[in-house]
Amino acid sequence: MSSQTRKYLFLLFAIIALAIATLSIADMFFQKPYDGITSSYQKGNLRIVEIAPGGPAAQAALQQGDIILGIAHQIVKFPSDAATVLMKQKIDQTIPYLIQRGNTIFTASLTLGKYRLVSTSYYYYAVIGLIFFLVGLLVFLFKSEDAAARLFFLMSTSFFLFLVCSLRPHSYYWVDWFVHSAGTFSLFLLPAFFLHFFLIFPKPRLWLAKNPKILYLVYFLPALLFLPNFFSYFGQFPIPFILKSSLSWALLIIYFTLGIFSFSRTFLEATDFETRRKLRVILWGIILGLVPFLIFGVILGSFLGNTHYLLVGVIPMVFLPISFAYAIIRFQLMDIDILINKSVVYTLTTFVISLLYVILIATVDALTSFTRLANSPVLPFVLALLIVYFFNPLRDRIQTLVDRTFFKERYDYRKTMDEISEAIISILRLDELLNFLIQKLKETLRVSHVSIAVKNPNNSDFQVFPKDEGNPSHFIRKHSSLVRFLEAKHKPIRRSDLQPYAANQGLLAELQHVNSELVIPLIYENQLIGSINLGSRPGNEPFTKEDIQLLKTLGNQTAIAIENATLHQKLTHQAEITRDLKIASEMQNHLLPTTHPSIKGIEILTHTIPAQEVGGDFYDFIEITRNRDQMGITIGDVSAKSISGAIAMVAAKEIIHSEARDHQFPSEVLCESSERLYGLLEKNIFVTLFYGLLDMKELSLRYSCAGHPLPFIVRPEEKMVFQLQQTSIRYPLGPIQPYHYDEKSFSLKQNDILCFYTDGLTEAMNKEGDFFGDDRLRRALLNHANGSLEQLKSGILNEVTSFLNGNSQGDDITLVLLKIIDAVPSH
Amino acid sequence: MPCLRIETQANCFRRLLVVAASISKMATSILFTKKTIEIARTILIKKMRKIGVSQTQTDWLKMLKKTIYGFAVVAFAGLMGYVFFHNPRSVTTHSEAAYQEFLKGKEAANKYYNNEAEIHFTKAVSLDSNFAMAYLYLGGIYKSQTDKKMLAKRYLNKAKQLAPKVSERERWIIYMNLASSKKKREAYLDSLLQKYNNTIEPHLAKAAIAMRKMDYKTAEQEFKRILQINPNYAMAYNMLGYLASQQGKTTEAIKYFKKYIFIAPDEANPHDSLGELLLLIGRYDEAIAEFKKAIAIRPELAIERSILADAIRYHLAEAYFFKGMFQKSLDCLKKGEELSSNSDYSLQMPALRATIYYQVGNYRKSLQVINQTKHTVPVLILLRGLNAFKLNDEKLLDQCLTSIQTDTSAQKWNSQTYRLIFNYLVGKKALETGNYSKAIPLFLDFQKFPAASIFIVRDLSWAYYKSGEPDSAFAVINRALKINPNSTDAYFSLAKIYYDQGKYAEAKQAAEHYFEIYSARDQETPDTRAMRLLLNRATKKFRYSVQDKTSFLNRLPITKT
Repeated sequence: MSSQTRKYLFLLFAIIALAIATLSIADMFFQKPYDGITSSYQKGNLRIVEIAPGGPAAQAALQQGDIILGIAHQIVKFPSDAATVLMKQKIDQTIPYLIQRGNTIFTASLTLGKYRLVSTSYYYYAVIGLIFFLVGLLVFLFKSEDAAARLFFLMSTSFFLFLVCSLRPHSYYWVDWFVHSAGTFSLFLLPAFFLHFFLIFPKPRLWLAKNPKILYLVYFLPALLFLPNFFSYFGQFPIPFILKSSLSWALLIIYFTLGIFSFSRTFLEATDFETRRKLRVILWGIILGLVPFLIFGVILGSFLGNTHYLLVGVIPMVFLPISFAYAIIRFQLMDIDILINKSVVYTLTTFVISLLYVILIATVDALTSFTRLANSPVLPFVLALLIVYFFNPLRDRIQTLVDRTFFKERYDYRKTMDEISEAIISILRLDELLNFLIQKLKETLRVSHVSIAVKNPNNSDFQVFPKDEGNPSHFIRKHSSLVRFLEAKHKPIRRSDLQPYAANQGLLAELQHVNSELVIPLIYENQLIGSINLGSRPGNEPFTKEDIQLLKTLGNQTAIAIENATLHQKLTHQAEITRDLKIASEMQNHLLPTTHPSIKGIEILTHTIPAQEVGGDFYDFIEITRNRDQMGITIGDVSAKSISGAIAMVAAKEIIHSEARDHQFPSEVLCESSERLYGLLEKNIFVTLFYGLLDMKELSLRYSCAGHPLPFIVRPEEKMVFQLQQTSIRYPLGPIQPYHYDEKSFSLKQNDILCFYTDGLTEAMNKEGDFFGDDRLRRALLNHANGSLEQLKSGILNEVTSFLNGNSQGDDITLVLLKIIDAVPSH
Repeated sequence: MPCLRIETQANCFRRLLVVAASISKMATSILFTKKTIEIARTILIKKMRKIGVSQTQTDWLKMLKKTIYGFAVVAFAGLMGYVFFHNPRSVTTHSEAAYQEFLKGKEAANKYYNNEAEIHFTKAVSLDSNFAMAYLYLGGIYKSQTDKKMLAKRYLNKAKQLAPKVSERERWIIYMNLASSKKKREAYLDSLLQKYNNTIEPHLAKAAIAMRKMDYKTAEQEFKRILQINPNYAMAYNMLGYLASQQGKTTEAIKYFKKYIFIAPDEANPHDSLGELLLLIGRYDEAIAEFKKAIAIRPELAIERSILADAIRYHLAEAYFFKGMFQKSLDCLKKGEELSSNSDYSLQMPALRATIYYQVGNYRKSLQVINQTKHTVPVLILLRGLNAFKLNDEKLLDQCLTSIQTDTSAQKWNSQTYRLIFNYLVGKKALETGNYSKAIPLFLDFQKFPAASIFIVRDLSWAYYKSGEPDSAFAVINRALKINPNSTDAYFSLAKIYYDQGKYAEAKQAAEHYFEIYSARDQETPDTRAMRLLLNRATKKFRYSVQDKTSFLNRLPITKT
């Protein structure tokens, strides 16, 4: 059966129940013929036990103890016969009564009076019943998909029918059969619905979920008792008395007790503080409502036959629907409070408008009563037209006003949430997105503050936005209880749900710390990427399940949006870097010498392979103006890449360039350069540098080194390769302020090849994790030294490439080869 | 628990069963239609495609389902409406008008308005010539009228012919009524009782059989069962009243008749029945009032020929007779015999006339009336015997006794009644000859029938007294007075015995009671003359004797009128 069909069936049931109850109530108010006799079936006779003073029977001189044999030409034996016959008569009609007094039988004529069956107690029953019905119907209408809500509706309707149709005297009017059948039917089903409801509410009992067939038993027993009772209407069924009444009442007591027991257990088992708070109201409602009913109504009334206290038993039953209604409105037990509130306000609005119209009509009537207009048929016509034209529009307007005034946020809740969901998809900037969300959530939920925590990909801590005074903590640490809870459960956490147990202390403290009543996790691809933290609402109104559900959905969307924004940010950042690198690369390309100084007797070849677009390597050839036979050679590596690396490189290169011109000795150059670069470079940036002063006249190389790999010297004729001697002080430039560098000198020979390089070459790593290393470089230099520099370079690079075997180079590779062809004659 | 009684519980239950059966049938048909829907759907889709209409299969299925459900709902509503609002006919006829006539006829017959019933049933059969039950009822009415026996036979045969075409219940009722043997009748009755125990007809038939067998206990049970089925079935109260009065339970009988009057205020018969009972218990004036009420309700009774009119005239004549208003009684009888409908009552009328003549001492006239009467009724033989005693005509007496034993016409009457008459006459003869011990057991036969025992009070008490059992004699009188406190015979006997015992004060008192009852008498009879003599003598003797102040009369546990 589709849910829609089921809903219609339930509504049909509600309509039938309401129709029968209306019949019952109308029947109670309907004026009926009255003979002023109270009779009872005693020893096989229908005996008069009471005669109303001044009533029709008293006027006809009937006496207490008289036996009624017949009424209105019908033989009667039971009070029900008498009432049935009486019901067919008319008020003020005179009808004959066949009376036996002692051995005398005579006919008395009674002129029937009138009376209404309804009593004060029945008003109470009807009102309580109606409360039951309305609460049940509202719960059903707004939660028809929920099994507990449906059962609650059935239970409430049964209570309604029981109160309205069962707790009333027989009228013996034609409606009586329907009404009392419905009453009996509800009386039998009520305990079953009650028990069933409390077996699945507030949460289904585990054993019931395992053995759902037990429910058949719950319904089978009442049905077993009901059927013989039902058929007893139609014939002389030999039903034992106990089966007819006592057993059914006993069943009611047992079922109600079991229902209360089940609910009490649920209450006692509930560890959740908020749940207990909600359930406590209902528990009290049930206890206060049902216990007096069971004692006074059932035990006293049905078992001991004392119905004097029935009202005492029934009146407290009002606690039952009221407790539910209270729990629903106060604690959002079934999350329909808003709709109920709305219904109530709309009803009141309509009532007020109707009242206004009545007042208007009365006023117009009063004003025109002295004029000829009062008798004019035009006036009521005009008034009717007024109502027709203005009633609905006015009502609609007021309703809209009410919506705006009272329920705007709540009314547009979903709408707003949908808008937010739509909007956030299109916002790509994270900060903008977060600000928008925070702003919207604040407006919609009217919470004291909203913050959103977003995971920092670098350290996995959660950064809290916005960074203002409302957020005492700008970070939620990744190891905090809150994050651990959210990561483990992936579900919202509500401060009011946490009981002040020791285990929850950490969590409570953290919620307090982030000033949040409710935290909604943001989950993306099963990973916690952040959270929405919501502060308290006005008047500490708790968050409803509906709120949480909507916020969860919003959370999911937000998670996607944040992830999108992060990704966008990352891509933007990447693009920026690429652009930076491009600039840096261009800068670098400009900085690196494009032409080599032409010094006689020297052949120079340079080659740079940057690992990224911008490398940190640089080299320079410095002309020494004070001594034309000398040439400064610099090769260095900046620890930073990109723009900052390029700037550092520029700075380093320029400083060294200028210092090399000013100072004669390489150690001085490095010392001065170090002095200047210290403080200029960022703390984490440093520069390794080799500076050598080549003297072509003396064929020597005086050098100083700041943490840079020392160059190799290749003597092809001797098939020798060796590295320059290490200097004793070789701190890189920038991070520290060394007071001096030392220097060494090396004598060169003709055909010596100097190989300057950066660590990118020797530290090139293959897939096995091995470095290219000094030894392989030595061998490569030796192997290819006999050819031209170009061949040497190609040979080295080929070897590096074959060594890498497809692996990318880790760092920039810069190679500067310098061959001494001939010594320069002295000037 | 609420308990509601519905007037026609059985009817409602039947309706319920019908509804249940229909629902199950409908459920079966819905299940069945699921298959037919499939077939119909395929055919429809093919057809639609042929004519170029494209429609998806699901849509068609949905549409068909909706149509079927719609039909089902309408059918269910119709069925419920039919069950609850349709009033099915209890008998088989194709004509509603004939059925209505039949119902009216039945109602009139229940009220003993046979003339009206006859008209309605005749109309019914004229509207529907195959109306079996109407023929049966009409035949039944004619059967009770001696001059229409042939007509009765014809209609009953017609009913029998039509029986196979009607419902089982009607068929069995017809067969039961027309059964050739007692065995067959009882077999049909048993079947009816078994299958249609909650209908009135079989119980009515069983009660009638029991009445004929004088099995009053069974008859009473059956009538009470009828009242369980329908507490307002008037005829049952009538019969129960008679049964109670026969057993001497007069209070109960009055209760039944009063209930009868109450539920049938527009009927004359209950007043007649009550009047009859009042006659039995000596409340003659009230009885006359009831008969007059009967005629007031239905003035036609004064002039029409019907059983009820016969009964009322006869009973009225009886009432006047008991009050000693012999002339008035004779007038009633004369009118009655003129307007006779040949019912049993009209047959009794000459007997009453003969009784009056016997009572006033005109024995020859009495015998003359008896001899002129065409139809022999038991009481005529009795009267003939009584007259024979008065005329000391032993021959006539013997003739009477022999006729009871030999007369074939007497055999059709209940043999028990004849035995009683025979025994009475023999006993009376023994009494006359002073053979009291022989007479007493013969008279005692009457004691079995409390209502009839009044008749022999004079003879039996005298026989006891004379055989030296005065206490038994008083007991007999006492019993009679209990039934009828205004029994002239009882007071006559009492006065006679007291006088004989020399208790003149009591004798005088008894005689005075006697005359009090007869205060409205229009002429002297041999009995009144005898009683006058006794009273005078007792009064005279009482003056000279000292009597015990506590008289027997004061000790009698009876209600004086």
